[in-house]
Amino acid sequence: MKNNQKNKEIFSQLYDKYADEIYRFSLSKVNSPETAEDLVSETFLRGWQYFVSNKASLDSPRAFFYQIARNMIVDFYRKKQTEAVLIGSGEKDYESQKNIRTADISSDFFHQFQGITNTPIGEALSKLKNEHQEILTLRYVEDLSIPEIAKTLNKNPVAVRVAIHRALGALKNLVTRNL
Amino acid sequence: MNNRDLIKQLKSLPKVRFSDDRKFFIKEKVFNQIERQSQEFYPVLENKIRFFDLFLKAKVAATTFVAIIFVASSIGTIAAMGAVRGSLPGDIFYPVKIGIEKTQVGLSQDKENKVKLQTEFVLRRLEELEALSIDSQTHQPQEKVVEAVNNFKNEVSGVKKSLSQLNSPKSKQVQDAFDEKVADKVGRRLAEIEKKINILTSVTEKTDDKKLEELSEKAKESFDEAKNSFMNEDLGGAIEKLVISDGIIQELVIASGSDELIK
Repeated sequence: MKNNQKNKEIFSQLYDKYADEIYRFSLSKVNSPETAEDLVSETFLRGWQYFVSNKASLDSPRAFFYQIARNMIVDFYRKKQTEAVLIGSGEKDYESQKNIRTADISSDFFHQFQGITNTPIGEALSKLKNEHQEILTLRYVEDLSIPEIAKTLNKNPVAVRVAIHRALGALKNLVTRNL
Repeated sequence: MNNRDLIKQLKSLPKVRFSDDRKFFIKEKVFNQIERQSQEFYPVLENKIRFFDLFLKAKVAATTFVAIIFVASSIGTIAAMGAVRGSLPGDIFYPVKIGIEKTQVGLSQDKENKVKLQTEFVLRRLEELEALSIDSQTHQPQEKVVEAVNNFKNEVSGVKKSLSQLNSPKSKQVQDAFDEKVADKVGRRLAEIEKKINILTSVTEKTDDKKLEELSEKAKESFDEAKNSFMNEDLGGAIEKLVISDGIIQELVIASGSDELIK
């Protein structure tokens, strides 16, 4: 019982530390503050289940919560069976639902909501491919480390570095063109 | 403009935050749910098969009758019923056990109770897997483990199907309870295997034995895959990889010539 109380205290601190980021990440994908709040609560609930059963291996809580949130977001779209928000996807078959990736989801609403598009760099960011937007936001706006992004996106750290490099190149091209 | 300038500008972009009251509200919601989950108890046995149910679903009732007669006539004792309950994949009574479970699920009138029963059976499949893992130390045929893993996967798909058909106000609660019970059990198994791997890693690091190092690496890889499947909510995949990881660990213990390793 005492142990459970201690777990709750630790988990409460984790919530205080990461809830804002997870909310932002969710909001950027679901475009609705209410749904984003629901996703935050689901993410932390699921996180708790893993935390109490497997605390020893919770070596990177930040990436852990991002990873759960990412799965929740994919589930959300699977459940809603919504393709409208998927840029470049006209398919409505089961396979397209099964292969939803957070990197395919547009963040246009979020960028406006967050006021990002009011700045030249933000405007350029919002014009990038969704995949580039996601990785640059995680790396530089949210300040996640390469290993954290690798865990979050289920990718190899080397592939993450390459993707960041490419996304930065694309952003640089856009900014230079607009100057 | 160089990359450094770009990065500097990206870092200075505005960030949306939870308002303090919303953040607090969601936190309260999460912790209330955690509290509720820890107090929840599944009285699965309350879902008793009523005698009159037999008349309501004739087909299933017939199966039950046959199963009961088969068990009663071939064994005839309560102890034998225990043998049916404790049977494992590959055992002679195992199909009877599965038949009885299917009948119980089929007879369940209430959808929520049906999920509760199915959840209980998913947990049984996990227990069977654990028992088989232990037996595999004494050269249990591999097929039984494969069958047990498939049974577990099938039970999980069955529950997921039933959950998707639930639309009562309590359905969320039932889903949460399933997630908590099964995910908790799989999570504990993950923790056990991870503990073993950590001990093995520290032991194999001190040796120059390439075979031990190789096996240790394989066990770790399977464990990582299991963990990944678990994080992606693929419980069947997680269990499959855990069984492999556990098998390799046992092989490692044998290869090292000492069973003291795991203690």
